[in-house]
Amino acid sequence: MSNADIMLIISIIISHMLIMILGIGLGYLIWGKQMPVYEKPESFMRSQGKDKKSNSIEIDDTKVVLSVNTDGYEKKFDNMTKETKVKNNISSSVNKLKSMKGK
Amino acid sequence: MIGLDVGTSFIIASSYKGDEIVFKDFRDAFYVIKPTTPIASKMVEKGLKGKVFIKDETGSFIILGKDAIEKAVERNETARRPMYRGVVSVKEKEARKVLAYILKEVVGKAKKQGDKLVFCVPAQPVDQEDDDFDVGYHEDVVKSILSEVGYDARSVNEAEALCYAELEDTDYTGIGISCGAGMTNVCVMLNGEPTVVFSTTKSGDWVDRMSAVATGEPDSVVQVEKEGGGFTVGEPNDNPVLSAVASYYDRLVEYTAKQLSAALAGHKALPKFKDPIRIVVAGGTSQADGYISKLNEKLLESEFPLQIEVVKHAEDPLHSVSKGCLIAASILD
Repeated sequence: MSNADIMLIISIIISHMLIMILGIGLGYLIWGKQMPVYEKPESFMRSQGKDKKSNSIEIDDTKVVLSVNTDGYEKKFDNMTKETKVKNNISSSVNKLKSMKGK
Repeated sequence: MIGLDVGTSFIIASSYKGDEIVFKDFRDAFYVIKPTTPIASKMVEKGLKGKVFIKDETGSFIILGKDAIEKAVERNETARRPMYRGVVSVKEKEARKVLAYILKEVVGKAKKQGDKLVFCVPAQPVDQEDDDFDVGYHEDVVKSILSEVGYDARSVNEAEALCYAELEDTDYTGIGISCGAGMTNVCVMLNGEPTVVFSTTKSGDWVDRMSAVATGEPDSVVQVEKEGGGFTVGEPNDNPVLSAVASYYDRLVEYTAKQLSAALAGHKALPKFKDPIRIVVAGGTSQADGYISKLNEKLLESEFPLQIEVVKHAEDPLHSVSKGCLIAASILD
């Protein structure tokens, strides 16, 4: 293989790499902000007792929950719910899930 | 311990009592009557005898539950809701206070401080982005209300709870679809782990709203007719209200199937299931005749990206989510 052939191969590889890098850059500029970021849902079982940690410093702008006073309501009924009873059929589900979650 | 389904249309608590599970259902609606004179107040109170209602500081009567819907229909109006599309309503000024009252009455005071309670919350919708939908705020409001009556309350995704209640046979692998009044919630589960969760904001209330517009009847009237049954999804009906309901139901099922297929097609977190999967459907909206078969049909038409073993209705569609919440609470112990 001559020097010219080697130079040609190297230049082809470099040009391909440059085109790829330019493509990625261009793609990011055009669609970067719209690309969906997927966060895996956290299982109820695994999320218990864990603090949510964030690396960046952010102000907490979530809505403040004010206490709701319902003392002013005067109750005028005896029972408001409709009750139904079924045989407890969830023990096996609970046991199976506990073993699956390693509890 | 208590499982609690905090839904747009129903609030359902479940708890153990001996070797039984007790479900307490309450219709999530209210209707306010403001008497103008003391005589009118006395007359109204007399007329409300036997109904579920409360009186507030201003002398107004707040009728609760199904009595509220009946009263609204009687007056050709629409009952109000403390919840809107799965979360505490920001449109209703009295929503938080009424919701707080209802929740406290349904679950009662905790037997001992710190009793476990798991309630459900919806997932982020794929078809709506606005400030009105704030799951975090809703969760905080419900937690704060329940902690006032002594509970250690935790939240679980609504469709995840449904999977816990209905997918034991398949080792907790499959898809749960909870069709509530305000939203349709979806969870794809693999061996007890939720892998994809999302919701859509069109469900039973959308059918009521659209049918009400088409027929010129109030939403509450449509809702009562719809819940009376007598129609099949997608089939013509002699009753104009039920005919509109059947048509809009058909469109709703098609929309849900398309959203489900689109959300899962090419989803990075979608597991590669080796066997066809089970889809289990629950919720009040799924109780319409023909809903399950129509959903199956529309999923196949919309090129659902997974092989389906069966689309199955939950054994007790109205109580499944609450039961799943109770299972979740039991596992915490």
